[in-house]
Amino acid sequence: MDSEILIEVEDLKKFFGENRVLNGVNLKIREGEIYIVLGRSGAGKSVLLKNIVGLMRPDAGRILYRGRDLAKAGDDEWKRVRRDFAVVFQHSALFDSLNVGENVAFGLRRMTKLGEEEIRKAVRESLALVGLSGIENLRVSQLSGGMRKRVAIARAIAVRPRVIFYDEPTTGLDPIMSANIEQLILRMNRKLGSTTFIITHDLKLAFSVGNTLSMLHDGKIILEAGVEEFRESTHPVVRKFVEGIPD
Amino acid sequence: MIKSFIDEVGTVVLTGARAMASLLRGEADGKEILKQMEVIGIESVPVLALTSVFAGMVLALNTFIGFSRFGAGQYTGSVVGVALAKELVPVLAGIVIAGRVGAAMAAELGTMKVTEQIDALYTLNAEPISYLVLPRLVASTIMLPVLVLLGIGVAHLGAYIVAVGLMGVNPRLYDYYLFLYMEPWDIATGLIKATSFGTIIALVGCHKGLQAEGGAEGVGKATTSAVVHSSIAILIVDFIWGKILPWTLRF
Repeated sequence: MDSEILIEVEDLKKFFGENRVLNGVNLKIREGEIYIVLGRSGAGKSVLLKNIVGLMRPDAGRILYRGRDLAKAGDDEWKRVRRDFAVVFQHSALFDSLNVGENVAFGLRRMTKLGEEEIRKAVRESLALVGLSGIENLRVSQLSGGMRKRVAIARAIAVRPRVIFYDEPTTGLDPIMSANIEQLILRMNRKLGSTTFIITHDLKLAFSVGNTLSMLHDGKIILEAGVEEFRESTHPVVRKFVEGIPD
Repeated sequence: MIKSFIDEVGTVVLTGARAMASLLRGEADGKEILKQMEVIGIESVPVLALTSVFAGMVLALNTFIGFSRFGAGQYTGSVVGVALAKELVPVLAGIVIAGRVGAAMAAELGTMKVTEQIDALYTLNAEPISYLVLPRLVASTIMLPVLVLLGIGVAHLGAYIVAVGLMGVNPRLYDYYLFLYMEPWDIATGLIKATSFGTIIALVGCHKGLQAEGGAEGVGKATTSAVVHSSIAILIVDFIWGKILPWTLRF
């Protein structure tokens, strides 16, 4: 893929006391691609994602988004950047005090100047895209795990973001729902043209939707490659992960 | 221990300052404030009325018993009026509302924190201080004095029923001594205290919720410490007001 680099992470470091969770992460995400970070539980994948989307501040390094260093960005800059970013959280993180429609409309009300009628239309469209038409008035507590995940995706795509970040999108879902979410991620990437960044330990997801796969281990990216290259890698840590060999 | 106490107080004050800054920037959501006023104010009326009426009854009963020992039972209204307005109702209301509302705030925000809803707010350009803390802070600060005013009225009713109806105090003498010794400033003192208690309950409850970590256990700890810390803070601030407010009367 030869499109331009949209996000570039350079020598990113994040420490929690003595624990060096990210110890010099380097990666490049190209516009329009599906970039996947794989790694074992506790490898620091979520910390990496939180640093890129501004939920954590790195201790060192640079996060370049369209040439601007987000590691040094102030609140106003982040407010602008967040209009381009959308995050689908591991456990969906839907607001349980709001109904489905209000959840999907939340970003539109905060980040756009659309009127109520336009917002309602955008909510309907977003829910239709994830295959959940007509559930605007349901409470979050009435949704199954798979529906929650799809509503979270609808909330993310409602603002038509430039980049969608997924945190473990298939964790806790049955195989069929996982496959549905995989298809949905692919469809959103192609239909909306959004760049997609996924952190996961689900190899099936990574191999079926990813363009670029990278492996996070000991606070560093130890391999960044296409699907086939990653699958055939002889790096011992990657081999062990791909083949699921116990410690 | 002292350092962590100072850190804790500092963080709560900082949360309050950030909420004030958000208020001055015009970020308050009127609809959300009204919703919180209903939750904090209207829904607290039954428990507050019950607490206040019994506080009034028990104070009147014990004051009468004590005063009767030296033949001054008819003066019951004089002490009851001042004590209920200045101390008993504001402090009891503060502690009861801390248990009902402060705990609910800590539990709600704590659950949002551990389920990543707070992170989701940030990513959707909604600052938790303006979206969550500010409406609760404004509503609690406005509604506590209203609740205390209501509580003072209900407590007096309870005290009157016990003193006059049960203990046989002359109703005219009860009213006479009540209004002879109770001044509007006593009620104002109670309302000033209640306003500050409302601020404390919301700030401590929201702060504890936003600091919650580690799933259900963390939310439980946040809820418990919200009630304990705000109750202690209410008692300390009550004492400070008790020293400051009489001094301001001289000017």
